[in-house]
Amino acid sequence: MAKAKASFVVACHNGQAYLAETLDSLVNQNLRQIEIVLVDDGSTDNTRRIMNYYAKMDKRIRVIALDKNVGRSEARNIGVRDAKTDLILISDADDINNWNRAKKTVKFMKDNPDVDLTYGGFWVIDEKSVTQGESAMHEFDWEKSLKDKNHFFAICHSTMAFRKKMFDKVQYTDGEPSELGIDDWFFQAHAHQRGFKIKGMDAPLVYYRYVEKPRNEKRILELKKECLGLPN
Amino acid sequence: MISFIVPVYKKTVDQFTRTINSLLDQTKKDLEIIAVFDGDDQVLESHAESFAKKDMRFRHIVIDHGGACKARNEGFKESKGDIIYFWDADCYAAPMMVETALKYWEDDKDAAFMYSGYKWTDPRNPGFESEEFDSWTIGKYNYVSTMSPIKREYVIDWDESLSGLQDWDYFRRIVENGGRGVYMPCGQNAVSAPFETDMPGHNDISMVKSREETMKRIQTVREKHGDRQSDWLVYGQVMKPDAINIAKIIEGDYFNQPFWITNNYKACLLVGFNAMELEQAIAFAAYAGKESKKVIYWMGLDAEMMAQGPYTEVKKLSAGVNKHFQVNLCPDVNAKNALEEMGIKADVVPFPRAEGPVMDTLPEKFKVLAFSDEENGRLIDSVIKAMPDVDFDKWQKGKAYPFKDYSMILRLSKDGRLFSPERTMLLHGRHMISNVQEPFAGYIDPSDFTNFKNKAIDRIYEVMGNPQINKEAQDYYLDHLSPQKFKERLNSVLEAK
Repeated sequence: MAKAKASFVVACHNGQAYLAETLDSLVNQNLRQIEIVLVDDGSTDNTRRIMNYYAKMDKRIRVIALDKNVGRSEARNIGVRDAKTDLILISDADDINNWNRAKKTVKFMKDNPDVDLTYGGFWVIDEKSVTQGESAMHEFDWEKSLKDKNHFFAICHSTMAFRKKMFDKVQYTDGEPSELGIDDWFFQAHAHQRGFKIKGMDAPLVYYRYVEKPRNEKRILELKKECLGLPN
Repeated sequence: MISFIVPVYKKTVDQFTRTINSLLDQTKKDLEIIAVFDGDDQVLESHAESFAKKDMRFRHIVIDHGGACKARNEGFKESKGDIIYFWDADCYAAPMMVETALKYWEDDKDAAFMYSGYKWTDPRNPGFESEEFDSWTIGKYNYVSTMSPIKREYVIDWDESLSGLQDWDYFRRIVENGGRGVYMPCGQNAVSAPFETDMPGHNDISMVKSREETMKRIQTVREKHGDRQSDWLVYGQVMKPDAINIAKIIEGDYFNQPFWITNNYKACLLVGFNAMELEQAIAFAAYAGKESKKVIYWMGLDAEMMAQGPYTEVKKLSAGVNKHFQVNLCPDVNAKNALEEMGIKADVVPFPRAEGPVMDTLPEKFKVLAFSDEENGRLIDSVIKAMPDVDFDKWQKGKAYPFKDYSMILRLSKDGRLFSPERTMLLHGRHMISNVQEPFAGYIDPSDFTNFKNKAIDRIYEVMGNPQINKEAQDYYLDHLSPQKFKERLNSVLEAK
C-alpha cells in the first residue's frame, strides 16, 4: 500500500456505544492512504475488544492500549506522538466523520502550505444519530470569539486537523481542562497565541454528536478566561 | 391394482353413470370397479350391464337389501386390489384422483390411508377442507370421508348396526389398530379436492333430522369405543392448534363448532377467538344455559384487538361475556389488565408448554436473534451497529427462525409482553434481553437510549464469553408452564363454586 498521507487519532474511554460507528466512518474514508491510531484510555467496557476487532480487519489501524485511565488530553498526546505522518486529524470516539474529510483536508493543507491548523463545518446529531442541525464554517476570527462571553467559541474541535510539527509547541492540556472536556478549546487558544496560522475549509467534515451532559460551566468559564488573560 | 367398491341404492341414472364414468376415466388405469346393488334395481342394473360390456374393469353383484355397510363388506370380499376405495354412487372423482393418492403413498409408504376434503356439486355450498391427521383429534370428531383410499391390510368390516357416522367409527377402528392417515391438502374451500358430491337427498340416511339425533349417533359411536365422558368441552377455531393442545392437556373433548351440543359437560372452554367468533360464542353460551360452566381462555391478542374496537362494540361484547361466561382466564398480566379495562375480571393461568424434552446446549456458533417493532427499530439497529464482531439475525416477517440456532434473543416491542414462542425459547435455556418485565426476560428500560445500548452491549458480550444454558430460566418455565400444573389449575376452576 502507498504511504499514508494523513493520520487519524482517536482516543476513547468507555465508548462502546458509539465507537464502532466512528471507526466505520474512518475505514470508509474515500482517501485510502491514511493511518488510524486508536488509543484505548484504560476502558473498563468493551472498547478494547471493538478496537482490536477493527485492527484485525484493517491493516491501517493500530491500537495503543493503556492499562490506566490517563484522561483524554494525555491519551490524545500519546496518539499524536505515535502518528507517522505530518498531518493529524483528530476524531472524537463518538462522532461520525464525513466520508471525504481526509481527502478534503489533505488537499486543503497542500494548497495552503502556510496554514498550520484547519477546521470546517459540521452537522449536529443526537444519541440516536439523528441530525439535529447544521453549522457552516465560520471564518476564524479570534476577536469575534472573545466577544462570545459564554463560550468563547472558535472552531469545532471535531473537525480539527493540524501539522504534526506544531506539536513541539502545542499539546493537549492535562489536568482540569482535560477533566472538564475543554482541552481541545485550549489547544486552539494556545495555537493562536503561539503564532500558528489557523484557517477554515468551507465544507462539512463531521457529524458531531451532542448529548447533553451536566458540566461545571462556571469553572469552565473561569479557566478559559484565565487562559485568555481576561479578568474573572 | 386399485379396487372401487360402490354400494348402489336409490340413485338416479345420472348419478350412477356419472360416478362410474369418473372412475373409468382415471389417469391410472389399473383398477377394478365392483358395484354392489343393495337390493334389486332393474333400471340401474341394465346400465351396469352396458358398462360391463364396454369395459372389462367393471362388474356388479346384487345382494339382499341390508344397508350400505353390508354392501361394502360384501363388495370387499369380491375385490382383489391392494388399495381399496369404498365409493358412494353420487361422488364424481377428478381424473387424477388415484394418481395423486399414489404419489402421496410413494413419499409415505407406511401410511394406512390417505384422505382429503371434498366439494359439493352445488358451488354455493362451501367445500369441506378437512385437516391434518392427529390420532387424538380423530377420536373426537370426524374429518375422514368414506371415499378415502385404504391399504388392503388395514381394511376391516363396516359396522352394519350403525345408522350414522359409520365412517367415523370405521376410521377410528383403523387408527386403533395402529393405522395412520395422511392428509392431502386441497386448497381453500377445497378448491382442488379429489372429488365432488351431491348434497344428500331428503330420505338419505346421512341427513340429520335434529340435534338430538346427532347427539344420539355420536353417543353410540363413543360408547362403542369406550370413550370416557370428559368434564371439559373445548372449542375455538381461530387458534385451533392451541385449543387442541389445551384440550389434550386437560383431557377434554374438542369440537369445531359445538353450538348444537348441550350440557353433557361440566364446563365449556373457549380458547382464543376473533370478534365474530366471540359473538357466536356468546350466543351459544346464552342458548346453552347454566348447567355447564362457561369459561374463556383469552390468548392476549384477542383481548387487545377487542379493546381497539369501537366503544359500542366493546360494551356489547363485554356485557355478553360477563352475563354468560362464569370464568375468564388469560396467560399474563398484560392480558389481565387489558381485560380489566373493558370491565372483565380475569385470572392469570400461564399457557402450558408443549410436551417433550428441553434443550441442554446452546448452538455452537453464537448468534443473536433481534426483533423489534418500527418504533424501537432504531435502538436495535444501533446495538447491532455497535457490535461488529457479533452475529445478529434481524427478524423478518415470513421467514422461519428456529430458536435452536440462537443463543440469545434481543427483543423490543410495544406490547411489552412475552408471547408463547418466546417463553418457549426461555424454556429451552436461551438468554433474553427485552423490554418485558417478566421472569428472565432480561428487562432493560428502553426509554433511555444510550443506557439501554450500553447495558445490552455488556450483556451480549457477557453471554458470548461464557456460553451456557440459561438454567434458571429453564427451571422456572419447566415448572411454571408445566401441563400438569395447567390441568390442576383448570380443574380447580371446575371445583370452585
